[in-house]
Amino acid sequence: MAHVAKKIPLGEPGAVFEQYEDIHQQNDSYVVGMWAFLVTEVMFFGALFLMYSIYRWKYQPYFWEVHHELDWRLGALNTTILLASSFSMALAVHFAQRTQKTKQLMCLGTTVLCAFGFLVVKGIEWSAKWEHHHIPGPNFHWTEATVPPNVAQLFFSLYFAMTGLHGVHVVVGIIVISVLAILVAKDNVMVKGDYIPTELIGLYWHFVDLVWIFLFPLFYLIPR
Amino acid sequence: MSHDHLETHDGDYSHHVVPISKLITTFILLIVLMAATVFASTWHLGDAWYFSVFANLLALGIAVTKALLVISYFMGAKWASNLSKMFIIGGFGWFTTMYFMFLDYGTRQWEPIKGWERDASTALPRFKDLDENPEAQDVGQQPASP
Amino acid sequence: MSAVATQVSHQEKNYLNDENTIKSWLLTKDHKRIAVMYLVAISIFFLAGSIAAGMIRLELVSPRGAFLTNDAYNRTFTAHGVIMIFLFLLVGIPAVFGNFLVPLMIGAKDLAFPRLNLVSLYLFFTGAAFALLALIFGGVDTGWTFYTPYSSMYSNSQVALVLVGAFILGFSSIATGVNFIVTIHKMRAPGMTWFRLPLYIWSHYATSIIIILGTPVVAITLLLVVLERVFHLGVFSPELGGDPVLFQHLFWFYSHPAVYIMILPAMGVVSEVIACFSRNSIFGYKFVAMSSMAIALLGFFVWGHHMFISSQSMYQGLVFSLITFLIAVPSAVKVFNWSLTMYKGSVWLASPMIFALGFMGLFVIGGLTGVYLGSIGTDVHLTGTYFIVAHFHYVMVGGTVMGFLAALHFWWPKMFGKMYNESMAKVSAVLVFIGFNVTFFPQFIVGYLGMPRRYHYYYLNPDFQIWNIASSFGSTVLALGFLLPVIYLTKSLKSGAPAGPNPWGATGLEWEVESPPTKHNFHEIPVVTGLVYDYNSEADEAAWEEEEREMEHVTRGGQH
Repeated sequence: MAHVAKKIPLGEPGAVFEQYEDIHQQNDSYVVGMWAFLVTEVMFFGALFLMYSIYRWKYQPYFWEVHHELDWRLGALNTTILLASSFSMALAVHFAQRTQKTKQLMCLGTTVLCAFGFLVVKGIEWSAKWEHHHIPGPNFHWTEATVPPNVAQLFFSLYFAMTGLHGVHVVVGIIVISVLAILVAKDNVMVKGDYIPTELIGLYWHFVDLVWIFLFPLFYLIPR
Repeated sequence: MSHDHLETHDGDYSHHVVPISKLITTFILLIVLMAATVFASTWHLGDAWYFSVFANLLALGIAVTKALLVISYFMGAKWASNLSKMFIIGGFGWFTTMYFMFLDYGTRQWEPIKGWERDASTALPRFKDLDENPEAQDVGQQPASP
Repeated sequence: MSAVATQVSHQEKNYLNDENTIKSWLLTKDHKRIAVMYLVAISIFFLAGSIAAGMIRLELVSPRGAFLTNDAYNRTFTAHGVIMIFLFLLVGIPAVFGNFLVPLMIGAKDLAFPRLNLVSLYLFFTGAAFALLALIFGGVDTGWTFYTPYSSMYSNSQVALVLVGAFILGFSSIATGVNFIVTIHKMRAPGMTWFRLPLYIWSHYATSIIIILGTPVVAITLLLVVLERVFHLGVFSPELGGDPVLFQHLFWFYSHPAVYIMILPAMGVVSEVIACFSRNSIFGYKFVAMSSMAIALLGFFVWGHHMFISSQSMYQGLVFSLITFLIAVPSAVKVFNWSLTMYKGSVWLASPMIFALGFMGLFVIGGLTGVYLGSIGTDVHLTGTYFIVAHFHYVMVGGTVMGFLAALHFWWPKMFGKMYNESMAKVSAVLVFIGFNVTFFPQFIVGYLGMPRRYHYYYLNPDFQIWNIASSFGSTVLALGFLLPVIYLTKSLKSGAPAGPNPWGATGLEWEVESPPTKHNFHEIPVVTGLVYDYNSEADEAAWEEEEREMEHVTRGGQH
């Protein structure tokens, strides 16, 4: 092979693992791999969206009635928070590419703060459901006469399954971004001078945002 | 699809820095679109089914636009390699093939509401009941072998 | 194919003896070591699944089932299904031979993400641990399909535990799939263009596409059943107005393509083996490659043929039936191309070839009976009988397990550098073929006569007994055929003759490195200049004749 890779020790910018020939091949592989993973995430949430679509199509009038139980203002607040966190994550990637460490750290911190804010708002919403006995199960309680209680429970089953799974992704995102921020702050060899970790985690975080972009109108803003 | 491997060493396409101005514009657009979808959801055009379809398509259209903005600019798909683009389009496209299932739901009778209320005298025991009432197990099945 | 030959002394360290500590095995990032660990693990699971199968066959010898109680029988066939499908068939060829061969065949030093590969291995172990724990704590009685509402509302067994196991196994599978896709896209050696790839790589690419598009769907579906059992989130619950058939839709949306996850790698193996032992370049290379992709993508639109007798609409049943017929076309393309590859080739009936031919015979029977079952009219009568059981065993065991054994015998010299006892291997291949047919062909008949699957009482119709006895007898022959390789392959590790880099005179990059390969596979990255299946050039033929003489010496000598 004519192309002989220049070996740079790991931890330096442009370091290459031994299975790769050069930094471009390595970076490309990571980005493509992340996208392939996100395809699986799309299918993962896709199945839930499909279930939602089928039941919504079946029970549109009932779902419309039940969705008033959700507060669209809290939903809109959470959308704004998540969009802002996505924006600051995109900025973090930008600064990582320009190797501006302090700014990158500030952006990562903002993202984590926004993510916590999102969870707090989510917690407020969920505790309200708890108080009104809207958690599916034996204690589910429904008084509205216009909607059969079982369909209301189905709506809340979908709501908790989808927002719950999304919430799990948010928690994972918080952990991953915090670890990244710590590593960047400590100039760890795994991330020093390398924007790829930030970029990959950024892709994940934007995906979490994407899911919420669809969840928000589907649950909080059901049109009649 | 057939990238010759030899060519992949030439381009430096995976390293494109998205300018901050574009990120800010995207963010503002996203917030505006969110406000738009909230505003649109308050309309009630009429009770006919096509108004409902229109309202739903509008909400979904806005969501798709927002998603495209996030994918293109925040995720940088606009500058991604063709291979990444293939995965993006393929992945989001393939999930819609699952909606093939609607052929079934659109063409069969489905009356799940009837009989949803449990009739304790005739229903088979649920596994959750067995914990509270082990005798319920006798309906039609043998006890588990040791 | 002319690549830079790698001439090295045999004293050099290979991947097996490079480091010898236990830690160096458990924390290895070497794709070859991970493959070997998978091989050990799935062999044990295959044994466990076979024991369950033996119990089923023993029970069915007598019409009143003297051996197991009703409940124990349910738990036994579920254990058989779960272990065989989730722990053997789905991971068998991709995780063992895929891991070992994908980098070698495309000329890479390793997979794109070696650490992810190790994570995938441990996810597999974790998932398997959950599944086995469920079996130890009383088992599961739903069958491996976990249909709701039985699994979510009625079954008083360890459903949640085994479903969590399947969920984790799904992620192991996804990690492997992503790894293969990126590796095949990004790590090919210079000159290894898409249409120079071995067909084995094509089939793995198709498999990985199915894995990343299908597995997440079943993962979330199974998770929702767990949530329904544990937290009452009733998405499939008819009590809440949900549709239990939706579970079947989503389950088969993955699980039908999963059949192709099991069979496509086996088809890739057979393509390699048949080209090699016919000394002929594969007939219609591009058609075989593209038929893999066609199967992968078309396979996503046929799931409904598992649900003809559920409450699925008959209209969609018709559509599914039609598409099911279509998918027979790419499968047939493969079989015809293999046959034409053998035509006018010089066929050498070595043991891998016998397994591969067995694959072809059994897969054709399995595939054709699949056409009966794909047509709605016959399926309504045959589904839920032993006809179905025979059909999918012809495809799964006759296809995947035969493919697995062909791969094991073909690449064993490459993996461990030792030749096994060839005559014993031939005996094993013939035993498996005969034993398999004796086991499962009677099931077609007894199924056609109306014996339902998953029942162990058939005393109301004593005519069934003779067929069941034949089947149980065949299964002992089959078991013998499976046990033999364990003996002679293990023995070959100790006392087998050294295999040399290319004992079969095969083409392909993996045969140009030492056996076993060194830790980094290639001393220099090879440059590929021609097609993979270059069996007809004169230079190769001369080289082959020379090697054939050496081989005769090796195989006649058998073992030192």
